[in-house]
Amino acid sequence: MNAVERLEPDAQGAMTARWVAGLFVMCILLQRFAIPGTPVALLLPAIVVWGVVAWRRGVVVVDQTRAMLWLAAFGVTALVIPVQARFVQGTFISITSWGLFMAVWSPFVLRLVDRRMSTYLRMLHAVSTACTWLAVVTISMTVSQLAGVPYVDWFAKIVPNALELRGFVITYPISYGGTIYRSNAWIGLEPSMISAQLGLGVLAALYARRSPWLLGVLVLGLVCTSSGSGFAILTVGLVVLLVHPSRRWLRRYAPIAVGAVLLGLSTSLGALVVGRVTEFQSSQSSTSLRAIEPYRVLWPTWVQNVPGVLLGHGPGSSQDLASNTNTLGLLVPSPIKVFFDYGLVAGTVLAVFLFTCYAAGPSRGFAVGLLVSLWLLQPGTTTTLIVSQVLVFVTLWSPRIDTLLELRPAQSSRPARELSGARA
Amino acid sequence: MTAEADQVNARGGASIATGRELQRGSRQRLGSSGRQGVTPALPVPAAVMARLPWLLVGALAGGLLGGVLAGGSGSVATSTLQVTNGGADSARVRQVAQTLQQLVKSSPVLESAARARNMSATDLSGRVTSSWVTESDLVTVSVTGVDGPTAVADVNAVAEAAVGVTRANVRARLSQLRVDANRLLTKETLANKDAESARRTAIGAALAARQDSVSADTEGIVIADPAVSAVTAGLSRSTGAVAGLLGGLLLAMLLAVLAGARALRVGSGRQVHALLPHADLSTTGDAAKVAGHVVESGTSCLAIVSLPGAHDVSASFAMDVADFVKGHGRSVTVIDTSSLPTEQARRDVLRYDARTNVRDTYGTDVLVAVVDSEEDACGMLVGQSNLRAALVARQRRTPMKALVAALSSLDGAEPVVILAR
Repeated sequence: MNAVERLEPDAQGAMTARWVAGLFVMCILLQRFAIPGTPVALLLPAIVVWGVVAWRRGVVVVDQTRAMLWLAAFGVTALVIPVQARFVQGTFISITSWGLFMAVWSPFVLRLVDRRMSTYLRMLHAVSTACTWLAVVTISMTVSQLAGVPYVDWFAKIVPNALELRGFVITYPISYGGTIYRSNAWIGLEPSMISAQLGLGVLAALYARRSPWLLGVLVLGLVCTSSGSGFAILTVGLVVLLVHPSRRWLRRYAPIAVGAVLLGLSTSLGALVVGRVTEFQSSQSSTSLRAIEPYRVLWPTWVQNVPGVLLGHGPGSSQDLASNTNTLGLLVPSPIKVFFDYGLVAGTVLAVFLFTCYAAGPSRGFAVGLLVSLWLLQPGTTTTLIVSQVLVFVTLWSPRIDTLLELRPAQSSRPARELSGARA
Repeated sequence: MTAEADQVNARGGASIATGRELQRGSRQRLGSSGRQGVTPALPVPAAVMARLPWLLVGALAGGLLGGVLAGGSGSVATSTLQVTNGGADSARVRQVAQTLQQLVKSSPVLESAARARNMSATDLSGRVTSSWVTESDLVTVSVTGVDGPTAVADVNAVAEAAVGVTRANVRARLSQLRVDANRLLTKETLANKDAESARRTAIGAALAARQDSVSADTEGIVIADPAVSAVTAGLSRSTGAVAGLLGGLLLAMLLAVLAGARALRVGSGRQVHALLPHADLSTTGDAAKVAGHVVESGTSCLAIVSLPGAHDVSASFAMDVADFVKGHGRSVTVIDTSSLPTEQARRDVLRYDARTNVRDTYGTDVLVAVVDSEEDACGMLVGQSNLRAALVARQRRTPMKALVAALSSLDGAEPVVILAR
């Protein structure tokens, strides 16, 4: 019996929730750090170390199904590389790209020992608290600018250059030529990253039945990022909630939700966020550059010849091609990364593994929200910060051992503190 | 006896099972880590480490395959062109450089280069790539060839052709301007001499201005860095071998996990502990420990279950345990069921009431029964909890699958695994 199993159930739940919430907090705090002198996020080895320590302490174990799928996916994709070089014309092969992919998804072979719903709710409670603090800082950054204090990238001033992660748009003015910058809470990699984290925080607060005022702070922080990433996750999560019996939980938050929406729409920030909804119609918009333009640009090359379709054009080839278009902001979404780089054969095996990481979690809202975000809008395969959210909210808790959170009776969705007290 | 056996079965709630049940499946519990109803398997890291030879073979095979497939794609050489008169406007520079990036692959350039290299443009076109170096006025041109010298010669020919075609375009534009101006001068004359003179002067001035504009606007392109050497195109053999090695290794690990305990034999104590972390491990030298457990628990029956390959060790271990039990002041009966003449006789020794009423049946406090796991009579112990069990396994002889199955079947008897050399 390991250290975790020797604990009383309530203590076990508390410890597990702390570990996972701690992982989420680590993702917030370390997101701008790089491994010194490299373009790799410090978060990657940090999460791997977290996984190893958690395994040694008995908090997590290796999930056999996902481990086998991980081995299959990365074994096949590695073996297909020399085959691509032989049979596909014009390949671009980056072994480090493949290695990064493998490393980023290696922690996903783990699952928690204690996957009870009460523990999951504890974790959501802790995460929503952490996100509230993040929202406070996010709001502070906007308020300080409105008060006349110009934005200064304190992180870049304090942290040595070698430790700073490059290649991201840390922040930029809300409007062209303006002096108010989109809030990234000073520590965020991009406003969209903070937005995604706060969006998850709002969902966590809803599931954990936190107070409406706390929810209001989170939503306000979300607006201050002026980014649609968090709203995309939140919207999908809310839709999932609404189609399940769990919609009854939302009645409590209706007044503040209406108030927040009205207040938001009356501000320039809120109007800006609303405007993002239809921006995909412009080929130069952020949404289009993430979800539509990449397919238009890369599809002709992918289908040029049959070997390329079946075997792929090499790990990193899609990013290389996208970079060569010299189109600022053009991202490579996950489907392209998987099938353009590795082809239909190896790509299918890889896709099966990736989809398994979203399956059988305790909450459908989180799983579907993150799946939509990471497969349609975000570069959701090798950006550690983005991918780690799936680990925290879905994969570590899979396969679930209790009823799906959205299907639980209304009385079982009491605030997490009451649940933990009842089990004690 | 059959009626009595049925009564035992009714009390025990278990059907008559054969020893083969011990060999069937694996329902080993791993604490809270397994989903209810799902048959857990061997821990993944331990299952992988137990098949190290497989990993070695997989890695070598993959490396060999990768090395063979990679390489042989020839060589690639790169030359760099520079736009020398693009101006200070970065947008204009980008426009010119990206235009040049496309021009390099255009038909006039490729045909010119192909003529210089005595080959067809079609042959060359599939081997040429160009790329603008972002935020600079440089454009790289790369050509793959069957070998290094060929690739170098080809790319330099393409670069020179690009420069030549650009200059030819300039000359052509200037020439066209002159032709247009001459036609204008000769064909549209005015009757009035003064007006005609003024017209000619104006045309001349305008022509001069346009010639100057064409010459100034047309950015100069030079070869900033001609190719002098080539590198391996595509994937080098060493990189291909590394990729193949990693792929082979990972797939071999997958096979090891899929294989589980199949064809695996009991190894060292460390290996068994890694594969069965919840098993209570001891050795044949721990007879005193086992005897102590029996005495302390107050049970009246200890079954020494002999797994395949370990029968001789089991009998001597049973005698050692019996000696220690006697040392604690208890009387002991030792029965080796394999020496009994009939199957029924073996079952009679192991049946529930016989194990419960040892004093009435044998006149002693404790019964130590040595039973072969492959005997049908061993099924009398499945699911039972009024005894203690010691599973004797022989290193490098006993199949791991047999040990796993026995642990699962005799879980109620708090089994101890005895590893014998």
